[in-house]
Amino acid sequence: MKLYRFLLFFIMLLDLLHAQLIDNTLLDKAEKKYDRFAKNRFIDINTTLLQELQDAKEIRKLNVVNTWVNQVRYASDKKVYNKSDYWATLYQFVGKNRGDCEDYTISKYYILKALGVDPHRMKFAYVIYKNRRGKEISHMVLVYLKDLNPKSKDDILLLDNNNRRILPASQREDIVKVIKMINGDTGAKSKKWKKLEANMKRKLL
Amino acid sequence: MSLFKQMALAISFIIIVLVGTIMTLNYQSSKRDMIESLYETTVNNISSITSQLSEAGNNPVLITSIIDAEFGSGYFKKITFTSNDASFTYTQVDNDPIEGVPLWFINLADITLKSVTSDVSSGWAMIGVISIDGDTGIVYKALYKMSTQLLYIFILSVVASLLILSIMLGFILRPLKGVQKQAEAVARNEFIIQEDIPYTKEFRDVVLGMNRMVTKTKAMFDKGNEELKLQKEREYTDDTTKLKNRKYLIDKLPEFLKVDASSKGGVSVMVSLSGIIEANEKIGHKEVDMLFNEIADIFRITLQGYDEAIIARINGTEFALFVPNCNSTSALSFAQNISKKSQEKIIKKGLNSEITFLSLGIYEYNYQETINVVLSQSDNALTQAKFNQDNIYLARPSDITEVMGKDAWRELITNAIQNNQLRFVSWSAVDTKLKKVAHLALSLSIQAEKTYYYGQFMAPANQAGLSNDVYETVLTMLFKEPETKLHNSVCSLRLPYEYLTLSSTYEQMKALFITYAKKLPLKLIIEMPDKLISQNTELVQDYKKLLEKYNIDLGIFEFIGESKDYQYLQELRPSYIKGESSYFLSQSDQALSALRLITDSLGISLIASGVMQMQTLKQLQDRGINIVQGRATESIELSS
Repeated sequence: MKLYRFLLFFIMLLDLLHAQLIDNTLLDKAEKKYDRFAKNRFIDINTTLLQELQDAKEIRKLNVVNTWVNQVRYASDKKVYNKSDYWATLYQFVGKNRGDCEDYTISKYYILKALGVDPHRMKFAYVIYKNRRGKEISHMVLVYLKDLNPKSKDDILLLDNNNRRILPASQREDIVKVIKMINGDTGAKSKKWKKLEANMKRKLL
Repeated sequence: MSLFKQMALAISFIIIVLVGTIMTLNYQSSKRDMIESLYETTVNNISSITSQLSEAGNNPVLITSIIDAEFGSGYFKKITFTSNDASFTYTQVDNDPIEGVPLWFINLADITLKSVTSDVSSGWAMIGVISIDGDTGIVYKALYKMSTQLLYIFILSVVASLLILSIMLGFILRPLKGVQKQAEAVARNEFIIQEDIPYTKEFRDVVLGMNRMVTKTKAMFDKGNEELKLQKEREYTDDTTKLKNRKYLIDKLPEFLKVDASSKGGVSVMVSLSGIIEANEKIGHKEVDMLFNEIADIFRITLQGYDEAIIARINGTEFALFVPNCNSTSALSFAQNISKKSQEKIIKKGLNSEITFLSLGIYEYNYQETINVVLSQSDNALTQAKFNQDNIYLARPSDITEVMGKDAWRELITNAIQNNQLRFVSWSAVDTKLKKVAHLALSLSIQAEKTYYYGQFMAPANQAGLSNDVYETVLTMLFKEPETKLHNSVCSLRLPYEYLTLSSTYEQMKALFITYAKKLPLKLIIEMPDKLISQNTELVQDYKKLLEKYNIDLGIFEFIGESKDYQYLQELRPSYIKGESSYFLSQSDQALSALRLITDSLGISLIASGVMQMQTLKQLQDRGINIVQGRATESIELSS
């Protein structure tokens, strides 16, 4: 009986360690694969975001995380991964310190989820974004629903890498069309999601 | 291969083929269904995407975004949109390898799915064509998962089926095991009756048939046993005195008069009772017979200290006392005792001891002498005794001139043992009916500066107390380094009573067998004397078990059938019985027939040894003794 309890405790402990978004093994690997700056970025996520924001209000969590992630430089999938379309893990994105709109969205989602933000409130939105020169661009943003059943566009906050401020959908006239909103890992998982999830689980750098 | 194994193999094969076929069909059917299902899903998807693209009009950004959104939220291999005028093409494709499925399986399964294509229109205007490839990765994954599960089920079901099959076959064929055991016992000439009669009709008939056969054979053996016992009683016993008779003496003497006899010599005493006609007239036949009985008792009492003594009545008035290991002084002493006590009995019967008296002719024999010499010298001594004052006469043998002194022999034999100078010499035991060698009877020689044969050196070896060392060396030699000329042959090795009853012999043989018996390149038959075997002691049974364990056969030599019961033949089941040719020729038809009944029921061959002349060989053949050993075999032309 004692052995059984010990084993159960051991398995739970392992699970807990495994569930940590950033751990020491990852830090070592990041330093080895990239450089000490990459390692520092992960340490920064741990301290500035995950630890300091643990007890902060949800809106503060959204703002700080959005600002932190938006520091990363934009680069197309073609440039970084030599693929026309690729969903990078948080670790690849932060490790390489670059990515496209989907990678910003994914990283924000996972950090906020680790901070305890309800994943049902977060959606991945395929939108058409019109830039200052009036050119329409296919784009992705992270949507935060203040209300699970939003009554108006004011209840929908957009965490975008083009516009660094978190604004309600009602104030984002540059988002000219919403093509589709999909759930993160809370709804039906698409092929891309399954791949991403598997890569996140094995902390693919 | 046993029936069980054959059936198990056949049924296992059927099970494997059946289960394998079901699995293959199941796999193919699932593969077909999955591809079909994927195709239908792709058709549904293209319909939904086409509707969305219709709303996008001719806006490439919108088209790109819709395709990205659909690609990101579904399962697709490839989506391609080409505008009507081919000025705009957008493709989303997943070229990543399929995870969790080995490449060999992908190559093996080889799933191909047609692209689904549809026109895209906006209002009445055709804006382009969309083409979708369904995600075959799903099918590969599902098929691989299903195949591994099918494999586990296949292995499990085969193992479970074989297990059940084994239990079922074991149950069904259990009666057959009994039949097999009984058949094996019959092959070993054992009389086993199976008590458990199987329920299955076919098996029951076989068991009942075999039981009947075994019962008949057993009855045949019992009849032979009883008959032979009766015949031996008649053939070897004197009716009046119940002493042995002349025939027994003649059959038994070769055991004592041979080069490797355990006893170096002894005395042969011929006893004659004179004045019997007068005694019959005076006191009558009945009283005279009683006198004979009383004298026979005197013989028995006087010689009871001599285990191997033979007391035989050789005719109406004469007796022979053959006493191995007895010197002339002791012989004179017991002769005087017999004479005195017999005289008292004669007087007591009211007879005149001057007319009716015993004469005892003592001859001190040597084991190297022949039966004829010993008997004629004993007769001469008796003739002398009749004219002696005390009617006792002692005759000594003429000096035997030895080629070598005792010490020289001892040295020669010891050297032969230590320096590996002992060699095997073989004599053929020939089946005269088949004209084939039945086996090679091994004898020995010493290869020193000169060659010495068994008949020359074994007597001195006995005298020097080295015979057991010789046999120990020979056995070791045979097992450790069998001579090449003996390879792939059937050989018999004769071991004497004295060597076999030594306390260390059994363990030595066992140690040799354990190490070397399995590698022995010849078929060996160990011959043991009937004198030992007929006792059927624990030691004999141990020897039998030991020989049986290492697939070495047992043979009997010096058989004269003097046992009180022949059950030991059934229990020990020797391969053959060897007796002197004179023994087989001197047997009455009834005795030989009874012996044949026993040996035939047990599958034992009869072999006559010491066959020197063709005439003797023919006589033996006439009596149904077809395997012979001796110089006469050299004249037999063997078939190739």
